[in-house]
This record gives sequence, C-alpha cells and structure tokens, in this order.
Amino acid sequence: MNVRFQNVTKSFGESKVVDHLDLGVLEGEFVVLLGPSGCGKTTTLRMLAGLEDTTSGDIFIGEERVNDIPTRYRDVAMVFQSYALYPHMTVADNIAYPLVVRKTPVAQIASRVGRAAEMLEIGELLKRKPRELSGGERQRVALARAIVREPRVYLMDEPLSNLDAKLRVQMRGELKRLQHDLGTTTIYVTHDQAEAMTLAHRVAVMRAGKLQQFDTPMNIYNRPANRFVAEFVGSPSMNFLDTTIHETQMLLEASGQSIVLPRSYSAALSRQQRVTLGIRPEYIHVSSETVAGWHTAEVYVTELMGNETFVFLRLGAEKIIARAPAEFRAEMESRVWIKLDVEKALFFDPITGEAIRE
Amino acid sequence: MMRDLRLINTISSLVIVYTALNLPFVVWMMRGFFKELPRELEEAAMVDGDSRLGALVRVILPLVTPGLAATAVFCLIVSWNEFLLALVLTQTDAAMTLPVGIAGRVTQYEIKWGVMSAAGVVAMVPILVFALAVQRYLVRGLSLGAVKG
Repeated sequence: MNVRFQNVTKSFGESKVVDHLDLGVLEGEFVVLLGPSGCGKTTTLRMLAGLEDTTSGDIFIGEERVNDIPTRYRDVAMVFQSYALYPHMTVADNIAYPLVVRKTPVAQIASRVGRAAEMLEIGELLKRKPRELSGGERQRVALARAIVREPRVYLMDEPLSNLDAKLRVQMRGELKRLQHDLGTTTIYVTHDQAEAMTLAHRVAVMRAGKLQQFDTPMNIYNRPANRFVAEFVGSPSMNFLDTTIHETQMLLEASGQSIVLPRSYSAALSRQQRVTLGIRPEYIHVSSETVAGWHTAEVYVTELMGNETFVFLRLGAEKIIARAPAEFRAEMESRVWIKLDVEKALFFDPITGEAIRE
Repeated sequence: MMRDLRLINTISSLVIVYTALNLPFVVWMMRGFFKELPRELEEAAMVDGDSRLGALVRVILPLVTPGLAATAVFCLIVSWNEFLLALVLTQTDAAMTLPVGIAGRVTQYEIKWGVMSAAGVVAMVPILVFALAVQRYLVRGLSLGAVKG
C-alpha cells in the first residue's frame, strides 16, 4: 500500500520535531528515513503507526486518511528498536499474538506461526521464552511477529542497532531479501548510512525535522542536494574546502593552491565568488613521491583498514581524508603529494550549503 | 457515619475502611511496578492490533504480578494487624478481628496470657500461608528478555 505524508508537522511544546513533511512512498517500496538522532525520523514513523498524534497535516495509507484512526485499526506492523517481545510468553505465543487478538481461527494460527518461523529460521525456538534467546534470535522473533499477518505497511525503527557488527550485516541482507519476497511497503528508520544505502529503494534524509532529500541511494551519494546530505552519507565523510573563484581558477583558501575549474561547472561557478568544494576521499589521490603538478600536504595519521588505507592529511589549515591502497605507507608529518580529482568534485554554496549544479 | 449506614459490627465496615486506608499506598507502590515496564510493550501490543484494555490485560498485568503479589501481602498484613479502627467499629464476636479479640482477653480480673499467646501464634498462620502461596509470583526478573539490555 502506498503511504503519503502531506504537510505533516509535529511539535512538542515550542520545538518542531517534524516540520512540514511531504513524503510519498509507493506501493511495495522500501524507504529508509535517514538522519542523526533527534532529526524527527522516529517521530515520523510513530505518527504513521498512530503512537503519536500529528500537530497538523494529513497522513494517508492508500487512499485512507488515518490521522484519527487508532493504532490497532491502522493495520501496520512495527519492529521496535528494543524488539518489545512479550517476556511472559513463549516465542510461539509472541508470534501468534497479532493473530490471537484478531480472533483468527486456532487451526490457522498454528500454520501461519509455523510458516513465519520457518521463513526466519527460528522453528526450533518456538517453545522458548524471550529471555532464553540471544540478541539475534530475539530480532528474528520480532520480525516474525511482524510478518505473521499481512499488514499494509511494515514499520521498522532501527531494528538492527542492537546487534553486533557481523550479525547486523547478515541481518541487513536477510531483511532486504525478506522485503523483496514479501513485496510489502516498508518504512525503515536508521541513523546508519550503510543500512540506508544498502536497503533502500529510496532514502529520505532528514535533519532537524525537515526533509533534506528524497532520492535513490545512488543519487543521494552522487548528487546530494546540500552539504548536510553530502557530509552525512559516505564513510569516511566527504571533504569540504573553501575556495575563491578567479575566472577559470579556484583558489583553495586553506593552502593558497589553485586548481583549474572542471569544465562542466565553469559556467555555474564563474557566477560565484566563493564556493565550497566537496570531494570524497576516494577522489583524492596520494603519492609519497614527487609528482609534477600535484599539491603537497602533510600526513597527520594513517589508518590501515586491511584492504585500503585512510590517510588523514593537513592541507594548509584544513584537515582532509583520502583513501589510498592498502600498500600505501607514510610516516606522520611526512610530506606527500596529492591530486584532487575535480571532475568528480561537488560544489556547494558556502552560505546556504545548497548544491550548485553544473 | 457507619452507624447511619448500619454498618457497625459488620465486616463490611472494616472492608470499606481498610480499602480506603490502603488504597493510596497501593496506587503508589503499583505505579512503581508499572513504570518499570518498557512503554514499547504496550505500544507493540496496540500495533499488533490490541486495544488499550486488551494490552493491559494480556501484556501488562501478567508482567506486574510480582508487584501485585508484594502489594497484596503488604495490604493483608496491614489489615490483619490493624487494631484501632477495628476496636472502634466492631464490638460483637461475629465481626471482631483477631487483634481486638486477643486484646479482649485482658479482663478486669485477670490477663489470660495462655490464651493470648496461643491466639497470637494461630493468627500468624494465615499470613504465612498466603505469603508462601504467592511467593512464586514474587520472583524478580520475570520481565527479563522483553527488551535488550
């Protein structure tokens, strides 16, 4: 079922937690709400579930306006960050609960619980209590409880954040597969950009209650709408350098070095006096030997990740990060040569932070 | 007032008075037990399709049974031992509570120590039995496993 937020605002006292949100989610789509803590993403989800009232605006599930419909009649299923399993019930009773309260015939309940448990491979745990389960198993039970009936929308509030790193990556893949197989509209809240990039059909990036950008992961990464989105998505983070434009050249204010403007942007940028250059670490090339025409920088520290090395550099007054091959070695404070691949760079208005398009 | 309602010398009068006496403490004590439960449990129940009342009965109440049991034991002891109001409100053997009855063995001519001691021991028994009966509900940690951590 499609879901639509129309001009939705939520205030707690003076502060606007969600500020005039317009968001349309298509049937069968996997949408991730991404943002730092306190950006209003969880509140948005809770408003859709009916656990939180809207201050103004309308929420639609399908063609039905659900603002005044109590949670239990909205026909959504939610997976909580804390799982919220019923501790006094067995796993089977936990999964069966949504069916029991809907007065589903007993014979049907058993078979549907069995099927849900089978999908999540927790068949042998059905007789246990939640406290006898590991974190990953509890997670699966919470998911099974959500999929045991066929709700109109799945809501997930940081379901993976309590798992360890390895399990998180594994569950991430399984979630994606599960959503694909079920084909049910899913709205997923996270602050983890890796989860957003890997899971979503479209990502909605939020900040301080305002929607920043709603687009495919590819476009969020490659064509961020503003500096906030560019900085939030990608790891390590994008580098930002303030520059002054002189005709076809741009002068890096941090180091006094100048770079030729990329051709595609020259028209758009020549109208500006100052711009912020944004460049991802993978587009900064580093060499420990002299290369003619490259800039010099000092190594602050290097971090070997195994398959690659993150090089933290001082470029004049600024600190930047570059990704280098795993073999790259450099002493702290040693001089290296770098090249910014400006054809891959993005440009932002230094005051508003909005992206400047070519 | 109890006389106006013709409740003097009835057990009902004591029931009413003790309810009023214990209620504030019960509310305060139970509030603590309810507050200890994560809010998500109730929310999960409602998202799963249950009403607020259903969530209370099916999810929340089973989880506060240790609290209910502890509170019940407490109230029982308070009511069982209460002396002053029982003395004022009950005079006949039909309605008299044990503490009043035992105190009644102190007569003008003698103090019946033997009877009083025996009654005191017997009076202990029902509380002991009740406390033992609810002991299994008193175990802590029943709510473990609901949420992480």
